[in-house]
Amino acid sequence: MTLIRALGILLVSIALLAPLSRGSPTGEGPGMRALQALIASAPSGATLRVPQGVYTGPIVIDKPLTLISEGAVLDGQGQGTIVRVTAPDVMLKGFVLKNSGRSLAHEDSAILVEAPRAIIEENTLSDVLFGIYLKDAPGSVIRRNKIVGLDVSEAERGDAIRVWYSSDVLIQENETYNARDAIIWYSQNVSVWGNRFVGGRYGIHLMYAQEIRIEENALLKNFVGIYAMYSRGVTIAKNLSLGHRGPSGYGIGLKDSDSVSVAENVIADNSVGVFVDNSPSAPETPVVFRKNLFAYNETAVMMLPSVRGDLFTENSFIENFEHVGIAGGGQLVGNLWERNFWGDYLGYDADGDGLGDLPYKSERLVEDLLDRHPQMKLFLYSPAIQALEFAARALPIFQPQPKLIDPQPLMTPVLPTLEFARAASLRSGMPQAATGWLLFVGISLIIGFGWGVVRWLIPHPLLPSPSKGRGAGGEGEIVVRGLTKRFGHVIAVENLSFTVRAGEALALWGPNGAGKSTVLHCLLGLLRYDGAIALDGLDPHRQGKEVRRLLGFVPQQIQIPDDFTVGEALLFFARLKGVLREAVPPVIQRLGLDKFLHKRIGTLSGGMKQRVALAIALLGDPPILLLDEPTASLDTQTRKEFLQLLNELKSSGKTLIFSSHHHNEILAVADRVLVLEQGRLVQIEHIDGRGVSELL
Amino acid sequence: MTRRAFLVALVAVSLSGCQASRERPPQIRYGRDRCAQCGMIISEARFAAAYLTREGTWRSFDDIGDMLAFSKAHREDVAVFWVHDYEGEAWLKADSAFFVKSSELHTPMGHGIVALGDRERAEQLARQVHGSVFTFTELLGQR
Repeated sequence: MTLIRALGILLVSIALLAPLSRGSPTGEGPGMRALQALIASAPSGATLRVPQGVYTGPIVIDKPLTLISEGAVLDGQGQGTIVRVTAPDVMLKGFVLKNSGRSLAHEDSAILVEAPRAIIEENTLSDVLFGIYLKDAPGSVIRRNKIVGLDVSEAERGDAIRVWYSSDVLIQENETYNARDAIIWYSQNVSVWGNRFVGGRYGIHLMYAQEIRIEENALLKNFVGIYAMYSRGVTIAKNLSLGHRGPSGYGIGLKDSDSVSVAENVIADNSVGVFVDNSPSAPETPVVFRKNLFAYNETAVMMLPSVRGDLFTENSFIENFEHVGIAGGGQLVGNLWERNFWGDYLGYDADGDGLGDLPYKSERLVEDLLDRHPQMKLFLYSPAIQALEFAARALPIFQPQPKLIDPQPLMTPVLPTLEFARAASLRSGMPQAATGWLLFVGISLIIGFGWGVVRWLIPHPLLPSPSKGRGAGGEGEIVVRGLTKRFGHVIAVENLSFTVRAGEALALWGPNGAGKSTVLHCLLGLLRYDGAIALDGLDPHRQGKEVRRLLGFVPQQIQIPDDFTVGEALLFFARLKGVLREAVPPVIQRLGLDKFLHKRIGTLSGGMKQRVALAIALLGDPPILLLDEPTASLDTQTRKEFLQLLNELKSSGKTLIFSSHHHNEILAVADRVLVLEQGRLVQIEHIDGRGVSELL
Repeated sequence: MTRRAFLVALVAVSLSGCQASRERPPQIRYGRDRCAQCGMIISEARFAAAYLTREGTWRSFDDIGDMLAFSKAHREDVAVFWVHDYEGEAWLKADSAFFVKSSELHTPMGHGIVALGDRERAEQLARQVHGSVFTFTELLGQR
């Protein structure tokens, strides 16, 4: 049997090569006819290796075959479907398919499969109306294909992937751009894993589907990231849903869907993070949201007032304009909110169990008005809205009924992103795309902003009073008094006090475990601490947003998805920081990144990545830069260049605080050194022309 | 102009305005506007539908079946139902259109109903997709 198959492969390869050796089979017909004829003459189960060349469509595969491209291009010439599979057990691998027909009525596709168990793998599809269409094709696999839709208006596009009455299907690690949807109709047991859906209508769209797993996908800038409609038994886990701001603008939408689990997703920068309409449709089929991160959405969760039976637990709501909205106004009843982290929680945790001692109540007057009158969003961020907020705070009689009550909110955010991303890395079969994406957003929250949780309302008596504007003691001044940070029984930093003048460079020096990074994280407002910190007179906890505008942070190694370009990364962070696009080019120029804008992060050297990290920290021109061992992973030459950059920034008046192990780094940049040992300050040294060699 | 004449003219203008808006087909922004029933973005003209209430409110739909479901659920006072021709560019008044219903017609919400301007074309399509032909009154009666 094996011999026959090998002979089949050999004969077919020779036969294919013969016509092609006279030239590429382009033009009308002959190439495709040759290919079609070979398919006709090939024994069932044979493997055809299709040599380089352009073949014109259409082609029909009507017997079990494996077709492997060795550089073959299948051109539909704008007519109909390019490849139609009508037999089971067909594999199509490595082809370029382009120019399908344009008829929505005929659903012209690049690849139409109408039989079970097809494997469509590693193909590149461009200028196609529908990409891969499984029609009654159970047991099929769509893996590692790249699909680019037509450059036409949204209304004229077809679906990148369509699964129709096809159960037990795997859709894995594909990329789609500018198509309509990846849609799954009337199918069961479909797994959508590790894909990237960009610029479509609905990234993933479920219609009357059951037992669907959607995991570790990146959904970027579609109209809606994931929309589950009339579906049941849906798991949506560990996905990144980002930048959905067009019509609808939902990160995830649920309509009339039951038994849905939404867990450990990062849902950021959307008009609406999650939209819920009549899901679940019955109380015995609940919808559960667990350990998701909702950040920088206009509204994190928008629900219709009729929704009942949703459970929200251990989610983190951070820096959303509105954490929970009610479409059309009204009251939410019959849903549970348990142990979520709310970035604007004002309570305390006296017994230290990690849970707030007062319930969290969502009851902003402005939110209530926006829910009932969405057109008021025109005035978002305007003085009128601020005046309303002020009035509501001053006169609580204006406050509406709370939309929800979380009896025991979490005091610190859950970072599922980082946890599961690490787990994914350890599994390691997975390319770091999804892992990187998720780390990226988690880290971006830290780099860009910090958590900024409001905790203390009384200023520390040893600190200067906050100024009305920036710069109580000059722009970029830092005052730390009695800073103490404990992790359980371990004291990481003990009673530390120091002052950094505006424009000064301070190094934190000491062995591992000395407390250097902890100090930086306290300054960023990432950790709760005892004592007091003031940056330009502002408290990182009490005035988190204002303080974050003063700060740029460069970590030891920045985590940005490898497939982001430098330009995309900078624009993304600029948007998160609320920095105007016009402010980005000067930073690019300042750090010499002009020639690298289109380079993908994954292709950059360590030094260049740190340069990008520094650029991100400089967006918004903050007066203070915090750097955590910024050159630890750099070689000598790149370190030298990076230090030169830091010196230039210092000369321009930036205040720098950086931790380091390298004495030459300290000598090159710092004005003073704080020597830490087991969390305590043991020495402060000034650095002058003679250096501090005896110290180091 | 006397006061009475002015009022008569005003009423006449108002009535003709109402009549004109009833004759004006829907203006749907494909790829932007959302279906009143399901909330999905209305993408394909050939499946679209809409109605105008007597109060002058437009409701737009991505699927004729969604329009039927919505009108049944909300029982609004409808002045005119519109459906888009499946095979052409025209809007048709629903009461003068012919509808083909078949599970082989892949409409956005899966109702499998499309509209055509004449019975002959409708019957031809119904034969192709193994469906049946209905009038709008018949469809309303089914729901």
